[in-house]
Amino acid sequence: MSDLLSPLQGHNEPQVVSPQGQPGVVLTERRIAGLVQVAAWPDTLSQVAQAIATVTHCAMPQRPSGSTTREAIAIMAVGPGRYLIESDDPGLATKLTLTAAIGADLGAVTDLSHARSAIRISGPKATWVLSKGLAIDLHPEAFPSQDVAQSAIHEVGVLVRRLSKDSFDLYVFRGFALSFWEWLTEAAAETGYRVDPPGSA
Amino acid sequence: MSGYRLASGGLVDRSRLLTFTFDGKRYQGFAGDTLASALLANGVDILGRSFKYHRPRGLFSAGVEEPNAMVTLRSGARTEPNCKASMVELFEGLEAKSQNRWPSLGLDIMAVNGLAGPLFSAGFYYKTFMGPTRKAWMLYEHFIRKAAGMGAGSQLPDPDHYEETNTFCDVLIAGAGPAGIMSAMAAAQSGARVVLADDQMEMGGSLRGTPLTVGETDGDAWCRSALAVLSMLPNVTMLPRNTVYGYYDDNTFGAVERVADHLPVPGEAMPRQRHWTIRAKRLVIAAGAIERPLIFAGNDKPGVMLADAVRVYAERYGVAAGQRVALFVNNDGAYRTVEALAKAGVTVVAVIDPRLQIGAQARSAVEASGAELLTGQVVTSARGGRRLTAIEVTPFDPANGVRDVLPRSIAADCLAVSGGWTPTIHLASQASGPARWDEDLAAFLPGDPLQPWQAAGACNGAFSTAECLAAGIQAGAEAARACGFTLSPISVPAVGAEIVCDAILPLWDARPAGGKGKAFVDLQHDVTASDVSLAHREGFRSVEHLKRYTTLGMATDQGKTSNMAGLALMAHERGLTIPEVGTTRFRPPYTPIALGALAGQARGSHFRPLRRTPMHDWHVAAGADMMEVGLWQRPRVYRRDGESVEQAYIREARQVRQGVGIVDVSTLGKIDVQGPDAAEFLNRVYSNGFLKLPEGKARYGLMLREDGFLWDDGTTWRLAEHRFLMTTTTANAATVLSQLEFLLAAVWPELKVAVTSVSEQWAAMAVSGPRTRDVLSTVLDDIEMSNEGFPFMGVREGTLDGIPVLVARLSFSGELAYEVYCGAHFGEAVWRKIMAAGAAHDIVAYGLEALGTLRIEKGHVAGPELDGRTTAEDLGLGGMASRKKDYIGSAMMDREGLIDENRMKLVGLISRDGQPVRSGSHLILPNGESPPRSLGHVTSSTYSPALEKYIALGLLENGRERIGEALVATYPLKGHNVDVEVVSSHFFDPEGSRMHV
Repeated sequence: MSDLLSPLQGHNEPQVVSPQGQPGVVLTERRIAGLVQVAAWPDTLSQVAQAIATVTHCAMPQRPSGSTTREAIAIMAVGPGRYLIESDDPGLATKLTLTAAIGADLGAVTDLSHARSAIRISGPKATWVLSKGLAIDLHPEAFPSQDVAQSAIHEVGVLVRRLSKDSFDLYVFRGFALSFWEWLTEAAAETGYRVDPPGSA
Repeated sequence: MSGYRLASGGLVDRSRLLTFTFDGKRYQGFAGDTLASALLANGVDILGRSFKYHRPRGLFSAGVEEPNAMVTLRSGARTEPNCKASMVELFEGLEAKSQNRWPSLGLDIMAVNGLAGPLFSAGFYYKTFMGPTRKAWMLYEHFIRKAAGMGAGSQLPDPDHYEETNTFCDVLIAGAGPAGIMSAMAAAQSGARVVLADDQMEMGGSLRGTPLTVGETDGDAWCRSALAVLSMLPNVTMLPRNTVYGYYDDNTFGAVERVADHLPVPGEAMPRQRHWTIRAKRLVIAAGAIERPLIFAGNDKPGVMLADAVRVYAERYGVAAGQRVALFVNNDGAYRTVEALAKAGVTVVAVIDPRLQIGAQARSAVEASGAELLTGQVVTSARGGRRLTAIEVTPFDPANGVRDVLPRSIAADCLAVSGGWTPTIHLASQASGPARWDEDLAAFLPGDPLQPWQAAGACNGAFSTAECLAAGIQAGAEAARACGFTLSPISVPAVGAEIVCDAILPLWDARPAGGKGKAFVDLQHDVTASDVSLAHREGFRSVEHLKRYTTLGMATDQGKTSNMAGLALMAHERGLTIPEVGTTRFRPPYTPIALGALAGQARGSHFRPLRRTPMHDWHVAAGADMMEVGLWQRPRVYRRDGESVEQAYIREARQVRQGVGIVDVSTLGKIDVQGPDAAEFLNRVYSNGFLKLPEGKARYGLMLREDGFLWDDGTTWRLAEHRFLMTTTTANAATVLSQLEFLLAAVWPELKVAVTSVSEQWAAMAVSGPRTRDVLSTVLDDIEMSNEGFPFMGVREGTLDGIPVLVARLSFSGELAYEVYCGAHFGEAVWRKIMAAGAAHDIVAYGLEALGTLRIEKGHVAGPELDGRTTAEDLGLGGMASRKKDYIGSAMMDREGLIDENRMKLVGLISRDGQPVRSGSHLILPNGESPPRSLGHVTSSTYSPALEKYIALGLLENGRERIGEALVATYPLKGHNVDVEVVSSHFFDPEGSRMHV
């Protein structure tokens, strides 16, 4: 698929920028194969949840701003009856899967596979670096693993998903990806960072 | 040369010698010194000249309240004026300069202002220079400001960088003195998340360096171990060198951390300062108190200092402020200084106290020091030129004031003064009712909280260490409890015998009647006691007016040492009590903040984020002039060697009309509209019908605002029965989406429709020109391209060399044209494939300028015409405003003013004299009235290669009836006039024959 071009192409090659010892964070561009938003109607919430679970074989998040994972599938609750589903299957929306299971009577399925760039930030200084732009409480009790939050960093809308205490996935609008990446590397410079090869996380 | 380093004592590290310069001269100090303590230790008396009278000034305090010792630090681009020497941590190689002196500190020509003293009273400049004419002020102002003023900035770009950060906690504690430390202990042991912030380099407040017994040891050791315990706790964040400067809504706080100000240059990638936005459920204010001076003639002489500062320099820095120290105090607390000086072996010559009775401990401290105790007396004058040499002491009694007898002179080189303490209620005042007056303390205390905070310690009127520790525990525990934590009891450490700030005799003015010499209230702004009286005589009676008229309490210290005395003097003039006169409110910031700290990373290329289209890199590589459109970066023209912008866009537009061109339109707003009620929903938001739009077809739609004006336009494509792709203008992409979301959430919640931004999902390019079909048919794999098979406004799904695409036959240029949409990551690949296929047809990439040219030639409206003041009818689109249905805006669009016949209507304009027509020009009658009446204005203009003339679109009163008229487009700002002819806005191919081939 050489026709695919990341907006970070040429800017996120592996490197270490760490003036003092070990880098505090590792930054990696993730390659999103499939990203789909599903919106249920107010009277079809449970049917839609059932349909998604059936297609993905993944349990559904049970609370607002929660998320679940199974292998390469991640389901994030991003609003009442709204889910963002990431998968390694680029045809999640287009190939008859979710679209077939969820017709207009149940809800809406929107392909966003190209609309977001995803960056993973991991390491002991991940919350420190994120806090420079993210005005949400990242204490593990306030924002536990698997939680998602929609906020903004550097005036760029961002969806944050916590994978573990020190690891987060950041989904940003594609057009802002490079500007965001430049901000993030500048913010990470204080504690040092390493860039891992794109797609390695 | 009066101050000197004591042989021992203090918290400084005498093994680490640091060299620094002041006004170019080299000095040495120790690690742990401030610039102020090091200069004092070196016997430097004069640190600056005063603001207005250029009087010599020395060090006055040991903290943020410093009004005198303002210096300029560093040099070159890192020059920073107005630094308080008492807050500057000494480092090797520190470079400091005094301010507001010329040519030198010792000899200041402007000091003549002091001789002309009476002239420069409150309001002098305004009365003198603003009187005659405004013009005179404009002339004088520059010179006046140059003569006065503080330090000067470098005007060079700041080489340092700044950062912002956010933190959250249950309990924020502002101030880490005894009250703050105990608050943190109490709150932290309950499990609450605690942030402890303090503006000093080391926490501890009044405990630092104190020999007072606390717990099992001295206060200094106790606070070190307490801080060590706190720093080990995972739920406590310690923020030294961090000033909580502002209290905002919902318990949000602004704080600035001086990350690298104590270093010569910030480390690599280290911010110089960091702005903290702290969100706390509760705030404990443990901000302490600031000592206030006393008012007598010459109270600004170098050598007159706050009493507690004299103690701090001895105990904390091992520096004596003078060789013969006298004290002039009105409360017991200041006798701690006597105790400390005696212990350090500094000669205390006399203690002057207006009170007749003083506390037993205070008295024994004086006796132990061997100083003369003069109760019932006041200092009426301080004498000396470049340094205090003697004080004059006169008997006083509270009933009759200063007695009119000959004063006694006492030789002294340092006078430590204390007029009591002013609680630091700044933060509280930003979130409370009016401050409360406490008669016993003669001070304002925090008012009733309007947000969840509590005050503890000296800022709340508890002036002893024992009281502060107890109050701290209580406040910390209450704050944690309010956050839902349960507490176990925590004991108050025992405190040894201490002299407490007690039994204060308010003494606001120690001037004898008819006494001579300047007695200052505000040292930093050179406001004297007589200025306050003058302001009162001239009718400025409210404290707010007093402040503005005399500038008392303004400047960088915001009156930290002067406000109370100013209020007291005004109260005296008016025959009222201080609480009756009231106090001014404190606004943030508590201390000055560098603008860089507020900007954080938002500077240079990060001033705001840039938004790039999927083909961005291609445009840049092709040499496009990129321009900002909102946050987007878009190609303006692809200039070839030697071309001007105009030549480039004319070439691009001509090539589109003659052959084929491609333009990046990815910035258009794109909204996925889905659901069983999607068609009904669109029919309600667009002014024209959408119910019957067939699948596989696009329609141009207009949206009105609720008030009936035109809002946005764009095409919407029906991809399936219940699925549409809406496009909006680039500018309104976000606002249209939020309006649709609002309508669905609040107005028509019963409609089953989901709207989602897909602006970033799709790369979009428009391919236009008579050869377009030839180009696209070679790269599209499976789309029938004939005029019949793929008619105008048709939408098809297919693949382009294997890449999934959506193709719509739409034309903004008026040529045969198609818009090709593909997944954004494929954008550049699809663009390249079309460029390659078009090479044989000499395809041209065109930018925004040519895009504009082509649409203006066609009379298509865009942002400049959709300016929020036009209706559909104004722009010749009245036919699209349906009369058969209700939709957003339909109820209001027939208001009288909106259907007035004389409204400005869209017209075309052709330049008659070969000159370009400026956008924004007014349209006026040739040889009409003077000054001419504007009949309308030019909205968009271009050179038209198709007509080979300069043309424009404009809005003109009753314009459609004026076709054929000759007008003048005038641009008075540039003196630019162009003769124009009014024509139809459809300049080129009005029948649309070129699109339908």
